[in-house]
Amino acid sequence: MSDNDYLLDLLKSQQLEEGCDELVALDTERDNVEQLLNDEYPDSNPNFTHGGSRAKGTMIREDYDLDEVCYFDNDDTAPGETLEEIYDNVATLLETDYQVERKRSALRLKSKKGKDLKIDIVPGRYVSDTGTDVFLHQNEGDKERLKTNLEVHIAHVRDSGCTDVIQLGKLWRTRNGILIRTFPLELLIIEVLSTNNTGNLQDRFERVLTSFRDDIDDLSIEDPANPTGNDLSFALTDELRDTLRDVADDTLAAAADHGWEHVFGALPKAKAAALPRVAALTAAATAVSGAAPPWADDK
Amino acid sequence: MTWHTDDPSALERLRATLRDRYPTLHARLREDVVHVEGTFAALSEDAHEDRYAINVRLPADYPRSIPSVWETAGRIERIIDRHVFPATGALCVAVPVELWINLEGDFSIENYLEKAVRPYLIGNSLFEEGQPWPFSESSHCSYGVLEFYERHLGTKDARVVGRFLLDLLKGKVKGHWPCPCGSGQPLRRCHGEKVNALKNVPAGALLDSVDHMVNLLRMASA
Repeated sequence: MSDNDYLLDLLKSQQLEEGCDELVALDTERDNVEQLLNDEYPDSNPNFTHGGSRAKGTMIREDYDLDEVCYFDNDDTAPGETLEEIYDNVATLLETDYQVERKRSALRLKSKKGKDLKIDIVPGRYVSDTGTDVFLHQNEGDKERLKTNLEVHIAHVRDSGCTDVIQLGKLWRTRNGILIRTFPLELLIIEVLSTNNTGNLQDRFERVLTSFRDDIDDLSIEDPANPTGNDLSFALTDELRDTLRDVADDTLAAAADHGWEHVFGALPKAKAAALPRVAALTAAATAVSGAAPPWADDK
Repeated sequence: MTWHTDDPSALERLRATLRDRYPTLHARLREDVVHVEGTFAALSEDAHEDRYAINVRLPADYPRSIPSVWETAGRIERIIDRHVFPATGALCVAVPVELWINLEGDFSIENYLEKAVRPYLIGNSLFEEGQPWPFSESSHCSYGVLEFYERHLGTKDARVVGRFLLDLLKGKVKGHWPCPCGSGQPLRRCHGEKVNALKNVPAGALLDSVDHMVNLLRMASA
């Protein structure tokens, strides 16, 4: 199998098909959130819909979550007078059924027992009664208010011609523990490939990593929904650039020496043919001979 | 001076090892300390892959003393009952002296990952599945240290363990001398092999064990 065929099969193994267990679980919680909102704000009619990777077509099995935007009409004051009130009131409402982690603009949902449900709810308010621009509340940064446009974001990624490389890039990020958020990574990949998106998947992915290795300091990202108004520098710090450069360098060297299967590992076999997870872990433990038991000290 | 400034090629050799064996782990230099960061597949079998985001901080005298390791994605709660040092958040993969013996003083990244980190993480994954830790668990603090010496020397008497340790620290352990266990046998016919295994453990680690034994005796007499 060629390296490019391997990468194509790898992406195939990362697809989440409609109706799979993971998406059904997300949809169940999504429906519950929608019900909570409808019960609390019966006279509001928020636009409650998919944002993020599900809408963009860049979801991968190994690193997925569901971004649901919840945009209220610009003259709807039922959820709050100000953006901060909307954000806080939606958070408080969700806390009836979930633990809620308040992120920069999103609300991350966990079960009451603390299990991460992989769902972000993003409250906001339309700027006008005709357009699709919205204002979001921001907990961090210089500006309390962020103007953005979900439709522009989705179209920018979905129609970029790069969604396959973006999926591979997300897997690369996850496998290497790189703490870059999804949107800046998507913007970086689109920026690199904007000048040359020719070749097969392997060619294009290697082009992205080569650019990260050689030119990361020269790459800049801007919000396509508000290029001059939204500062994304917080999402691409010098430290993060250094990490991207170093990891891209290591990855390219490892792939050149050993091929891409060495970097991402063997393709997973079908679950039906495999041992149950606990049995697989137990077998792995048995294979480790003479291990010491874990300890701990309070010092 | 540290290991990578003493021998500048050593860091390149470490990077080559990571590329060859652990391509999702990367050596990063920060404030003169080398960190090995990324994800580590504790399990990679058929349909199951279990990866942990980790940061291994290599000591200044790498690979001659024990590295520290953190789980960095928030998967393991940073409490003592999950075998995490609460003060630092580092994973406590084993009683340090036991680690010295098991790894024979070789804390190179491959040896440390395979013989210390992997067993711990597999154990944690099983624990998450509601299973017991596969290699058992040591009790916390001084009690866990004594349990190690019970496994190693066959005694759970902190005073006797203390005698072994003090003889070792004096550096004058001879095979024909009476065994510190009190059996009346010469050491070489009694605990000679076990004591020899402890001879290469640094004095600092043995002294920590002495402190734990003193602590246990103090608690017993209180």
